[in-house]
Amino acid sequence: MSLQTRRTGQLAFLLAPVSLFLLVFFVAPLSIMLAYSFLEPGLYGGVVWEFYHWNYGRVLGWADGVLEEFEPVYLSIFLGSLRLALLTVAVCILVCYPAAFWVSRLPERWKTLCLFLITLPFFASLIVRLYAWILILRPSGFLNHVLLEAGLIDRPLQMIYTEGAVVTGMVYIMIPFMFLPIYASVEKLDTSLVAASQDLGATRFQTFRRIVLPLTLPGIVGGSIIVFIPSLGNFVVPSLLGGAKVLMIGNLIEQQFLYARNWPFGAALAMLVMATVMLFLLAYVTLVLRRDDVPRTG
Amino acid sequence: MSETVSPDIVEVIDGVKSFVTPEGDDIVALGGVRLSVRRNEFITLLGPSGCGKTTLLRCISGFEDLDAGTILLDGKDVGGVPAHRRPVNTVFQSYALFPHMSVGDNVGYSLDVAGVARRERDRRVAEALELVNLAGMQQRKPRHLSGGQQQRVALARAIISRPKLLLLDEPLSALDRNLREAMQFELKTLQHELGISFIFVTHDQGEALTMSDRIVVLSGGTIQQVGEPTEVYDTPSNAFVARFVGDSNLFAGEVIQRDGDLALVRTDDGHLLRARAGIFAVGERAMLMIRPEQFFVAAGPGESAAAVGGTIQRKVFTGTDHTLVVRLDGSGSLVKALLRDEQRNRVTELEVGRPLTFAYMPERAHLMRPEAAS
Repeated sequence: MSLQTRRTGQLAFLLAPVSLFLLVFFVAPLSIMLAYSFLEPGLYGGVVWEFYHWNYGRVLGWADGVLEEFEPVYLSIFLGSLRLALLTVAVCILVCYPAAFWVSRLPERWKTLCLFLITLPFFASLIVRLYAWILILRPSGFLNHVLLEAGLIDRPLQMIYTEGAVVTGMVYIMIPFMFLPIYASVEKLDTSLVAASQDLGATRFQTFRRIVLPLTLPGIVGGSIIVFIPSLGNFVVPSLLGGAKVLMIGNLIEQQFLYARNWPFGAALAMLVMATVMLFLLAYVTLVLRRDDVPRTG
Repeated sequence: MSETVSPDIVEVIDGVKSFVTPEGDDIVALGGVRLSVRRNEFITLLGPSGCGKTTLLRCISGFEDLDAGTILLDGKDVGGVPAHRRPVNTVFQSYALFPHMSVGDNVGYSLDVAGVARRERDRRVAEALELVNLAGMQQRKPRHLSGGQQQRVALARAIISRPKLLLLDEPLSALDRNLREAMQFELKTLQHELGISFIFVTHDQGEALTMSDRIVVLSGGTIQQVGEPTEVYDTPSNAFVARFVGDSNLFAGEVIQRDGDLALVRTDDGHLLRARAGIFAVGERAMLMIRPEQFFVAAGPGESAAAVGGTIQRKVFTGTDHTLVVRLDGSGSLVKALLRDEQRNRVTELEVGRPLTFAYMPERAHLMRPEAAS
């Protein structure tokens, strides 16, 4: 046996467990979902094995109006979710980017402490932490109490069950996922480049735009992807903090599967969410490839 | 009355700067430095790490502010003026090339942030690259270049906007030896062509001697000596400079007699040696220096007025020279002697363990202060 084939054999052996796991628990369910999304819903739940594209037509506008109706509300929920997810990403960047610079300049000991604190919320259950937000935001909650006592307002504000509450909750959950990639790229930034830029006559703003931002962009983009994907499909936060007022696509999918018993329609919605994410990723990869088109040799 | 042009491009007047360490101690980086750099001069700040040379450079470039004292750039006080508004550019030790930009964009950076028109900018970028022998490399990325090429890009980037002064912070330390020697000549030529002053920071005395018009030797935040390379080498102001620049044999002792220009020194280990007296009077403590290459082999004791006898301990061939380590008769102190080509035939006869007499020219032996200034 040559060294090459032995290496290949070892690699196959090492990769086999994870490949098998992904095949059984990821590729297979996904294929089932994809297949279901093109099937006819059964009258009492389940599916009829008949090709049926109206599931997508209902959302995107080519329903026949007899079996399925085109409902613009699905599209608007979809776009609303997209908006909330992008808003979550934006707020996370605004919070984490300056914080990352601040932490990266701390002495080593404090840095480690800060990174530990960032991951601390993972030690408590997500549901518990979201209930805490209910206690904070509800009309008789902590925040209203403080504002009333301070005399800033004379009646409790409706803070919970708003889009603001949902975005707050999602930002809260997602901050570690945004912070860590951004921190990694900020920490890596060579400060002598900043000095060189200033030395060559660039103002602070020019230095930021031409040097700091481009060099930390990979961290921002990486964090954005990790935050965007779970935010778009999130249904826990909107159901706890959005109540009946804020419905996201994740809630809709959940309802289709668990309450409406329309698995094909739920699957179609899930596929649309996935397709959207894929489009964003594709755009990112294209941009990266174009930016880095110089061959690495020579 | 017309304004007179200041003869100096940089003047540092009583510059003081100290830092607080994380442990809370005060470290004096500059202890009252006084320095002027002339127009079109290649001046080198030489000293061991921690001597304050980089701090001085950073104060001139505007990355640090002096605690006390004044820096005049082209006659104007630049206290509080930030780095980006000083007519001074720096070549950094790590080159600090922008990795996400092409060579052309790196070199053109200072023109781009100043808003220079595209055509003018492109022309000057091409010109600057030509000056450092990198013509036509605009499209390359820095990471595809060799260390020497990156160095040239950094240089082109720093000189393109024609600063009044170029600061170079150990720019050659990352290059291998041959490349470094080639770059030394190129830098010197470039400085001559551009007609701007260079302040070059290094801990390599060879580099300093080769390139500089003047050398500033620093230690512990204090200037030990300022002078032309030959001056610093031949007549160091104190033992620190003598040890730091070139090889030297040093004898601490006392002047016991003055005889015209020459002094007789009784060294602490008991030798009687002659040297140029300089400012030293009878009874004063002094350090006597004889460079290894000032020794020559004498036929026997008494041939010269200045001679020492000893036994060869070690003999090392270094290409052009032979280095001998000799244990002196009487005191047992070790001295180094460098024997050049013309004495080569005699050297081959010299074997370890053989006694011999060294002579030297007393008027070339140098007397100086024993301690470094602080």
